Amino acid sequence: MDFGYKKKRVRIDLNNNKVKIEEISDDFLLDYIGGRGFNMRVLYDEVGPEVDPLSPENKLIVGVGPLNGTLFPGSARVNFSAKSPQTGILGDSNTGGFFGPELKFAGFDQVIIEGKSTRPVYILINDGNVELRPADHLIGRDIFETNRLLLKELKDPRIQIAAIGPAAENGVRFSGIFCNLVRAAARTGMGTVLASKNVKAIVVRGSLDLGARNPKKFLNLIDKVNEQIYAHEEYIPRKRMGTTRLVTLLNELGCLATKHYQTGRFEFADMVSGEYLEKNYKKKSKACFSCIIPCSRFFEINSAKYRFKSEGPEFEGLAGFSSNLGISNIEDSLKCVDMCNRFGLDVITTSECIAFSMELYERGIINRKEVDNLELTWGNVEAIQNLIRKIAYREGFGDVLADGTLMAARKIGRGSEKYVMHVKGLEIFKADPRGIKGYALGNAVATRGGDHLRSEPSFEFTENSEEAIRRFGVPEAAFRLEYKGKGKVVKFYEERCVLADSLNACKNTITNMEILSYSEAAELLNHLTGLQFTESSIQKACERVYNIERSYIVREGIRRKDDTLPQRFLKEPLPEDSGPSAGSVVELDPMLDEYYRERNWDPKTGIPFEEKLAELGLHDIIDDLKKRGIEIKKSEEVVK
Amino acid sequence: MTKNSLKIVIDSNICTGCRVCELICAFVHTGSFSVENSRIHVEKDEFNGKDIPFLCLQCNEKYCISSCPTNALTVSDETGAVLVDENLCIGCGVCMKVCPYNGIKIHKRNKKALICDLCDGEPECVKRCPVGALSIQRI
Repeated sequence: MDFGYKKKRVRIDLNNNKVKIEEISDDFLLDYIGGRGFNMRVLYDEVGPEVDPLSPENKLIVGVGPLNGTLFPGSARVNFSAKSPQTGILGDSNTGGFFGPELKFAGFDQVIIEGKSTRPVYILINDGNVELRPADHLIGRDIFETNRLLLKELKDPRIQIAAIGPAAENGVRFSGIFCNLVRAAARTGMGTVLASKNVKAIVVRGSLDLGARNPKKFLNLIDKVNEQIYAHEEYIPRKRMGTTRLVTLLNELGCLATKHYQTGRFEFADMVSGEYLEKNYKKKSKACFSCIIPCSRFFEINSAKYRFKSEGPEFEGLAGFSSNLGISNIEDSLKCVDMCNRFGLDVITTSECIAFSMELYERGIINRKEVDNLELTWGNVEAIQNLIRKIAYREGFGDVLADGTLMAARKIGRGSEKYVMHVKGLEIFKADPRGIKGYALGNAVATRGGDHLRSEPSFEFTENSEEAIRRFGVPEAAFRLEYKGKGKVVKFYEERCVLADSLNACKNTITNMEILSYSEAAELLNHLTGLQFTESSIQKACERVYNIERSYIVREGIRRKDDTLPQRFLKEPLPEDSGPSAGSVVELDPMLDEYYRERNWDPKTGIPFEEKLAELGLHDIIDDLKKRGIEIKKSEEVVK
Repeated sequence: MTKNSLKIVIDSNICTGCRVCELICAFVHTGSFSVENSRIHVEKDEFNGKDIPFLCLQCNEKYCISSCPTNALTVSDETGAVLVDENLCIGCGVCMKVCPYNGIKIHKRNKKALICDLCDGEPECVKRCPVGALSIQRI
């Protein structure tokens, strides 16, 4: 019986059709915990700055963690990582569903896909066996059709499928990998990387045993965690609406991204809210594998305009295709999300591409002729849905947008770059950073570019000054419109996110609800695996992973100057109609100074100090960076 | 408790498809989380949002017992559950085929019949279902 880990990774070399199974050492497990940690280490070691993201030399790495496949609530996640074809830096995307645990039951903690197949294939991993199968018949098929065909072909309803859609095949740089139909590992173009390797899908099926070293004690700890979840104030709202409840919450706070972040309040928010969706379309709650918070929803629409059913959406897709584009009919929004899901597109970047185009159109920077004669005015659903399709197939103006907004702006020119709402080439989420300063900092420094899921510093909503002083030294840390203390807050939550992504459990519990302290995590993992984790070894592992990620992007050329936000958030106050957030801008520099201090990184360059990397045991990374001429300083040389 | 004293009742309309029932079933019976070992299995149709748990319903007919060629199946006097003698079970799958309720599975690897034994009267799946889709009916 294996305990928690399978201690195996499989390397699939598509150039030579070779499969190699490698043992994973206990030291590696202890140092990197799982999923994201495993992937980041391999990415650093094997995919350097010389690698073109769309070349066979890039690697698509799939990682799961020790809790996958166990009764730990929400331990359903999986990480897909590679160098990103959208940003050129670190690519990593995480999703739930049922794929991650099935991969574990199929015998592996990690899969590394390298090279390029000469013909379209799908990868079948079944109880330790790996097979490459022809996928010519799947080419051009959308995510749903691909799932249907594979289920029919393999005649086993229990297979789990991670697939790409036509957008990835057409080289759209923000195409995702979709598990369970709509569970999207959508960000940073991981689907595009899989397509570049001629792989249409990864199918897993597993029945191998997986136990706990101390079953009773492990189960007792699970019971404790479950009790905390059931008693948590967020349990009921999350169960009812999942993340879609944020439409109302953020709109009330005046920082719901509206008409491309031109204001923070959407007048039709209550018609596109999580509450509205729940009341009018939700058929039932849906959960990921092993999760007791069924935060996902199955819905059905039967109206004059639409007849379809699906699962989801999350806040990002809903707000991206409502407030941020001026769409006031939720059925239209849901249809847009459904289209992205079938084409295999990232809803954040896709909706942002369209919002960006609409702002340029409104300002007269682009004209109707340039955009295939589409009337790109706010809320024009026909034009929006047309453009989604054009992006997926790289047709006309869709081809301009299919590389993401930053590259689109570079093609368009005419000063359009200042309207790109990105960090490091990745479009940001659908909350306005000006109304949540910790999240603003989190986005500015996130290692995969514009991203809230690398930190989720939700503490800034608590307004609990005492707790803020106790935990982060200053009362301001508990208030979303204040900037003081946010460096500390963001560092703390970044490491909680690493913990969640490396255990491959859900951030809803580990990060937002802050369930499972580092010492509880150590106890849990020790009872599960029989290894000797400690509170400090786990905390340090999380910090180590984050520093590897930073070192990775430093090696790619990222410096402090890149840890920034679009000018709109730094210079233009949120307008009057943004309620309690009106007048706010992001005070980024003082937050960055505090953040680098907390991280012990060079505040001038954003490069980690040598002491920090040494303290984390990353001597080989110090040597690597130095060898490449990157100046790693000691803190005493810089900080007086 | 007397024979046929309890039954697990399924409400698939509220089942979220999380498979916690499968996990705990597998774990308490085999010490392994591998859901392949579970006596309850959730059939999922993600296209239509359907999640339907299946398990032995202790029906009156018990075709499984009458058709078992090796007499590997018996009824528990205490709970009324159908018990599998793994030494006798040859994994022929006849019980699975004749079950009108899709309540029996054959293990993918060890080829033994998997039938709900009601956890000796205290079904763990019922205790752990996060939404109450499984409940106990005492007869």
